Amino acid sequence: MADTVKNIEKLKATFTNVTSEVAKKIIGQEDVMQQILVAILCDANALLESYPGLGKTSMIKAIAEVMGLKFARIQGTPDLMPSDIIGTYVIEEKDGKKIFKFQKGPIFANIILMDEINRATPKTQAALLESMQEKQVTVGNQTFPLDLPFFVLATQNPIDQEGTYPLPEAQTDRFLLKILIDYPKMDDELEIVERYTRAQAVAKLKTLLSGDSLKLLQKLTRQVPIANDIKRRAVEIVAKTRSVPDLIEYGASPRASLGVIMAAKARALIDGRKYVSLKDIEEMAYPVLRHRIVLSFKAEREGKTTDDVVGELLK
Amino acid sequence: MAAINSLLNEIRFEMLKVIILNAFLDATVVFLVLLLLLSIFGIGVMLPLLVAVLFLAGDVWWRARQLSLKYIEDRNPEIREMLRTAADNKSEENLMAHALFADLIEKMREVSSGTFLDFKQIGFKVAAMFVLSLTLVSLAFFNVNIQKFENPLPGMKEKFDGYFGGLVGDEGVEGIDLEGADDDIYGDPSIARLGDEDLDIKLEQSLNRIDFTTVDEADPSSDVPDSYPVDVSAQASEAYTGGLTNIKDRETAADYSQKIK
Repeated sequence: MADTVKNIEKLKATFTNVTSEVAKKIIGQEDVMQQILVAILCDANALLESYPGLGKTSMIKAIAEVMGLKFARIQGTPDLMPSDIIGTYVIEEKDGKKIFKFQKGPIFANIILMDEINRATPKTQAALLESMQEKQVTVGNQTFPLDLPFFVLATQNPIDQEGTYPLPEAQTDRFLLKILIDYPKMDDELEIVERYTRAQAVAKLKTLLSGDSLKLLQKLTRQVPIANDIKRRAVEIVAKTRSVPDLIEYGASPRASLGVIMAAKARALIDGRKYVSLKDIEEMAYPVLRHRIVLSFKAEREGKTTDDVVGELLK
Repeated sequence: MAAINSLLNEIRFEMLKVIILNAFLDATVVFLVLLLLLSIFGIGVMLPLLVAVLFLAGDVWWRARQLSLKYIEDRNPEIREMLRTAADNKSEENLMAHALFADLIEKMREVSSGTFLDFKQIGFKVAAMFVLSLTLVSLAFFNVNIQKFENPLPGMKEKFDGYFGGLVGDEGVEGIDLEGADDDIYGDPSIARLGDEDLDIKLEQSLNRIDFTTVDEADPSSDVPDSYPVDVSAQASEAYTGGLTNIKDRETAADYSQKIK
């Protein structure tokens, strides 16, 4: 027991090492990196929103590499079918007999990057969302469990909405976090240019974790203790989204309360703390709530964003 | 879990010590203030002492009711959330909770009892006690007693006299110097009587001890009636004229006597 307690002391160093290793490929974006780690520790999925060319795919690929997880990327297109994701039965000849064999799709990986999820048809989106929720897929009358740990990191493009199928609110609710990726700072962008325009390719990343160690970390995340008044504060923030009709048309569900507390626990663990701080709750309220609330006409007319409204709720 | 319970109990015990110290200081200040005020009126030490003891008991009770971890949290904001989380999760049995408890115990070792004390407040109280004590000594030195001046509260002396051991400076019979006096000043023992009965008692100056078990009830005196007459009256015609020679004066006196009949 004493040794395990001491090992927990080293957790912060572990996460710092993971971040440093990913930073060999990805310059800046520390907040995004932290939020992706939060989603992974919570055993949940995240929605990434950014303009094209900001390194979403590279970042997630780097995280998978450092964590020793199997990575798969699916590009969302209007003609993408559920079977393209889940897999399908193919006829295989064995001992002179023709049998149906299940050919696994790209969803049988640990980290799935679903690029431009809003370009896929609702039918394909539904197949993906089902696998996110149930951690299993059903083909015909047979159910296949997915490899654990399993995360879906889906991306959306905030521009060029023509020909897209925006995710309904009920489906976005299944993503724990909505992570906004902003343009890098000037110095970071210079560093990106410097690093990626050289002849030498970026060094291979070291694998620092494994699937099993990640499962242990997920278990520890759930065990992070939280004070009653901080828990109450988290629930109050979420409940408040349902009681300000002049700003919010549709508030967040109790799933958001769970999300805020879980995300705060993960943030505390990454920070090397053994308890949840009020600051964790307030920090994580933004990514947890921003895709779960629908602004009122008045708030939109005033040019407010969901983050502005969440900020007002936190005051 | 046992460790964190022990820690929380230890914290509560430390807080109780601080509460008792603060209440004691407050009670001392109350005592000195009362002593100062009442000594001006010549009232002894017992009343302020009684009030101070009651104040001490009440203050300890009130502060103990307010006893909470918030007191320590306010003084140690760096461990506030950690302490509160540990208290709320003391029954948890998992790795993270144990790690938190271990961390908290380590941190609480760095937090001495001294941090629970408000040294500024204690300093202020001690200074107040010093000033009050000095004032009391000065009053005693100059023998300031408001009774020597015009009594601003008439009847106060009589009211308190006898309740709290008499007034300050009233140990002897007023006007008699008791210095070096012996029992003879009370006269011959045979003079002491209760009714018609001779008493064999000894009066002591400091302790008015009389063993009444040895004293018999007095016989009713023959020349003292059991009850007073109720038919006492006077005739107006026999009103006292006081040897007034003037007729008008006599008439006035007679008229007055008639009216008051």
